[in-house]
Amino acid sequence: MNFEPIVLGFLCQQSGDLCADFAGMEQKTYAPNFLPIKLPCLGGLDTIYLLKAYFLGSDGVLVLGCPEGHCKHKKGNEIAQRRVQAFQSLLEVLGIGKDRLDLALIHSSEISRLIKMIDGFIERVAKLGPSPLIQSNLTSKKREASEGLYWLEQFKKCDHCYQCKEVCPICFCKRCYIGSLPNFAIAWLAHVMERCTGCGRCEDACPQGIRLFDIIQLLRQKFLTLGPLFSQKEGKKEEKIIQI
Amino acid sequence: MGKKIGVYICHCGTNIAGTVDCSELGRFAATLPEVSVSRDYRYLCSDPGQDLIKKDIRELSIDRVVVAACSPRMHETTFRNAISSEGLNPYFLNIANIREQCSWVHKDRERATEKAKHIVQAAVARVTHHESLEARRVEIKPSVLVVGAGIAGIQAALTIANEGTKVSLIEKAPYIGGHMAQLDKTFPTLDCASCIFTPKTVEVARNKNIELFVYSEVINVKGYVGNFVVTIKKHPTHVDPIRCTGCGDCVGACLLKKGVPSEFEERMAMRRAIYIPFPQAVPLKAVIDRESCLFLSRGKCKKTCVDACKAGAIDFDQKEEVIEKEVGSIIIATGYDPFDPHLLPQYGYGVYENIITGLQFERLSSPSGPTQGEILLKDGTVPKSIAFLHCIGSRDENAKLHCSRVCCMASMKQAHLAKEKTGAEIYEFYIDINAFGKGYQEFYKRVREEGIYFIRGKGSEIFKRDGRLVVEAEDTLLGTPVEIPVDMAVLGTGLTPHRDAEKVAQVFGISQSADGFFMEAHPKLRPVSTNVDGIFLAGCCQGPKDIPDTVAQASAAAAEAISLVAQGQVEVEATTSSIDPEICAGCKLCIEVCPYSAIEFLNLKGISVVNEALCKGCGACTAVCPSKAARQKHFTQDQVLAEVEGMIT
Amino acid sequence: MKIDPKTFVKDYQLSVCIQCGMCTGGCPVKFRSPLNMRRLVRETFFTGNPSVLFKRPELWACTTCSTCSLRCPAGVKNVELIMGIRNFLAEKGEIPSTIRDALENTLLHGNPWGRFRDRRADWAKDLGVKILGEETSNTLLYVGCAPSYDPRVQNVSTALVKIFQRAELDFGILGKKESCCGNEIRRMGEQTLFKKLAKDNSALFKKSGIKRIITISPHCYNAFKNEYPDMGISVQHYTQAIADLIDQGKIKMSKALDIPATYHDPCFLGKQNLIFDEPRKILSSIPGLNFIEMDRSKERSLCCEGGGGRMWGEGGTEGARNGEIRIKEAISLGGKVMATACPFCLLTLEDATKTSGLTDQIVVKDITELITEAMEAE
Repeated sequence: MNFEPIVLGFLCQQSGDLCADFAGMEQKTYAPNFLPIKLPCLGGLDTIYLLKAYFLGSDGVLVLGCPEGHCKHKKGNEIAQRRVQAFQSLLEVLGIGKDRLDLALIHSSEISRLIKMIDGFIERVAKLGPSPLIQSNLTSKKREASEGLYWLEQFKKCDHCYQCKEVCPICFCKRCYIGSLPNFAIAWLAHVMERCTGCGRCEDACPQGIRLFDIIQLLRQKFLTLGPLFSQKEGKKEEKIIQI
Repeated sequence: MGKKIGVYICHCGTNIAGTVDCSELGRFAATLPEVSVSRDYRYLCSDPGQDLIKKDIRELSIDRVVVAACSPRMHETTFRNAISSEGLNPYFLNIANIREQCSWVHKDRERATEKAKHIVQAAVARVTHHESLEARRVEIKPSVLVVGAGIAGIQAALTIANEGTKVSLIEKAPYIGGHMAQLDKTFPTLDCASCIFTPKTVEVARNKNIELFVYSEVINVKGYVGNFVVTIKKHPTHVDPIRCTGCGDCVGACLLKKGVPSEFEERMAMRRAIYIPFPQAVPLKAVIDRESCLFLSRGKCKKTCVDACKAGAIDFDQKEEVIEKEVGSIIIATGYDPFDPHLLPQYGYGVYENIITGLQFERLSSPSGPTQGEILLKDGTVPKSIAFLHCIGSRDENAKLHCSRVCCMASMKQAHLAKEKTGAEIYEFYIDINAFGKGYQEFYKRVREEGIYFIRGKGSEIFKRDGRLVVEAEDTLLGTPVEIPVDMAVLGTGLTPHRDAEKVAQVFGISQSADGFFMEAHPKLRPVSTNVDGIFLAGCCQGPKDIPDTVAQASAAAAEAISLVAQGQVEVEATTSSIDPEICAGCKLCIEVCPYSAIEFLNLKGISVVNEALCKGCGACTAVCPSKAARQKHFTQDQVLAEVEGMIT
Repeated sequence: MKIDPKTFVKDYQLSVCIQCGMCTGGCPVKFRSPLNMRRLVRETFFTGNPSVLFKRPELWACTTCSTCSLRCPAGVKNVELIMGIRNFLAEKGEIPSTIRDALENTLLHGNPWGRFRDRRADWAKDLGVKILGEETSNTLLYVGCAPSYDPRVQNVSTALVKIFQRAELDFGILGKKESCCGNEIRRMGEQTLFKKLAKDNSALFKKSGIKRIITISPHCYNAFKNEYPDMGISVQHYTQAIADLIDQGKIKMSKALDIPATYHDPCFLGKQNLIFDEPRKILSSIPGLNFIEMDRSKERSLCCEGGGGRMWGEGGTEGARNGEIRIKEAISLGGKVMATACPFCLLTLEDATKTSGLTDQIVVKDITELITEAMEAE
């Protein structure tokens, strides 16, 4: 019996979802592993949706949106691209595999390309096997390739004490919404990784000794190619410095 | 408080039931949490189907409805209306798309049913988090923008203006009329194009409700249905239109004696740098072409045109103007470009003389054209044999895949005119004869009766032998290859999307179909609407068509535009965002990502706030907000997370 | 590999044919043989017994110029159908005897003419050319069968070597180890032999550590570039290499030729691989060469009938060959030289000057020969 992966799709209303409807109207066929969820624009693709998808058992996530320059909401597709790339780095470092997440930008009229993307992605994920995130006992044969799953094993130690969140200088949410996810450490990491200042307090505070500081440094290296998240530059503006 | 969810599964005849086991799906739905009732029915969108839902709302106090059926694009409004007629807020409805994205695209019954279960489970989970929302109503500005003043744009503009609504008509060329103005006689009645057309163009110029902008383009569009703000750039013609009488004295005086190829004459004749497009042009005003004018491009000219102009209309200092207009709806009628036969080198276009395109033939045949309506070779003699090659650039893997619809009739009409004027031997090289319209087959018979030779075989190549053009093909009906020497060859070039189509699509936010023409909202049922509410299509910009179909489509688009204006108001989706001031920390990430500048920062309070009138509901702010103070209605985090959970487990 | 006529419809997309006749209309041998591509496609599509269809001599008249495939508006793979049919016939042994000999010779001796492998590099023995294997180089000059063995074409090889040596281009040849590229073999229907040649040749190229191959014949160029598995080696036709050298100023031509010349675009170089500009660039840089463009040039160049195995079989064609039409066309434009860049075109066109009795009016030369004429003697 072949492994049938569970693949979640996030489709934007203007292109991905519209194209999928057109594919249906033309009675094209693709693999039924693809489970579609509609968003008004890819700009609204929240990292927590991706986290939830993987935690609940998704083996792969495919994001479909409008091509460059064609986003109805100007740059939703660019925002999503950056977010997806950052998340792919996280998946890579955790050993889950960055090939389990993909973003494709297609016109609503590109039906055959849509089918190819979906079928191709499902095939790719099927070859990768079940997502190691859900194989909580790590009984799969990937055990031997343990170096790839080193970080995942680290995070499995998290017991939801929330000390990292308490000491983090940029964690200011008055109501923490990520506590509901199965593994707090990974979810918290995905939430702060792009804004981290590198203070290292999280690692000092963790009673389980999860190497949070080290993994964040690893990720920040990868994020250098993404460009800054804020448009403001660091440091005070020259004219604001008060001379004493 | 527990919800009472009603789940309704539609069979859609066999469209869904043929692949998905609807009764099993119904039984499954009944087991989901907070589901009070689960039913399946053959056609839910029918009146009895809707009554099922309404009855449950009344009798079973259903307060959330999930309809598992076709795409929400089809019937979301239908079902929303149904439930709101029973007093339930329309946003308590959730549609599960188990047709276009399930039963129609999967063949395995078991797996399709499995997937449908996931989709329904997700929809049920989501709907428990739905909130009651009010749709916004916005005013519709009582004016329409028509882009393109060919026959489609003109017809649309006149229909709307005569109904009493104001129209802004924009045209890129310095004259209106588009390609129809270039035609000689039209098929199948052989009416003279200018004769049937000039009354319309004159009326456009005269109609008080039409504001005409020629030599202009739309460079930016902002806003949404009922409230578009368009930016129009008027290029300078360097001739004052109020003073210019169209006398043409300036043209003769222009020092660019060599001239440049005339666009209107399809490069069969030259024009000066200052020119009047053609004698019946509307508006009949001179235009200076910046690029070829010696003074404007090189700064060196005695400006003899200024001296020759008795009205003092020439103004080299005229600047471009940028104008903003607020309109309620937009009709796009930007037309087509003929296929460029240089792309198919086997026909020798541009290499040999006397190989011309269909439109170039129209100019030859036209009484106001470069040869005063005589069909002549480059050396001025009358051709004794002419070949018409069909399907040049159409139905071709190496060019465009689509059929251009009108060129078979156009080639036959041109063959008829050529036969009448020259008595030459005429050959039509065709694959199929597309004579679909009213009177078209009868015209085809007439042309055959005139003794024009129809050779069933697409022209493969044109070369020269002993100084004569030779067309190479196969007479497939006889099964023999042929080489036919002719004096002139007319290439039946197809209709392709306008070269600026992609740019236009981007400016207006509409989509292009796979063939490059603009995409209609639904190929059968909504042929003049686009995926953008309030923007409509008319004419060849949507796909090749003949004049009767163009005029019909333009009237249809005008009707849609007028109907919007008549309604006065339109409902806009209530999916805007808002920011919880208690949670907002003032990091301003939302302001950075908002594409509509709909969020402002309140310095005193140190928090951001959304201007809901400007918000378009894209969700970028909610995704980027680190503390989830920003929240989009109808796409809240709870709703989407519930949907994700329902979909996967 | 087994080629099965039952899969022809699917393999060659025969069902999309709309019977427009562009293929037959553009076929260079349409008046010289009963070969009718359009009818062949329809008959193959409908027939229950394909093998009966294929016993026709005119199937061997096709020159594989590919005009039909290139122009087909529906996407039918016409030329591949002919090659598939020929393969089917070759496996049953039902092929013309001259073709069979050519195929056997290639298997045994590495060239279709059956000349001895040991003598393959004899033409180069006094030219001081590097033999790869004994010495190394980044660039391989792949000579080919006709340029190695045919006395007329050996002039081309010699001329090219001289040009490269003067331009101080480092290159080597394979010498005796060189085997037929297989392009014509595949077109004559021997898929299996072609695959073997491709495999052996690729291994040989990779082992010799070369980074670039320059071919003399456009047929070899086509095989290496388009039909061999990816070798990670760049492939150039000699006209491309020489055009580069001219750009770099390494080719010095100082003798003015003072002659009007036309150029015949070889099918495998021109319409199939779109190399039109480099030969013209070379010809316009030859001093004193008055270049006259032929009417039927570039994509419309008329096939000389040298390809598709036609060097080894007539395929039942009758009447004057296309070469004669080309020669007469060149003469009518005032050309005294017909230049070309393919060994087969060279041979067939020169043959045409003889059969039409026009040897005193025009002479056929390869581009390399014209270049060396314009170079000063050392």
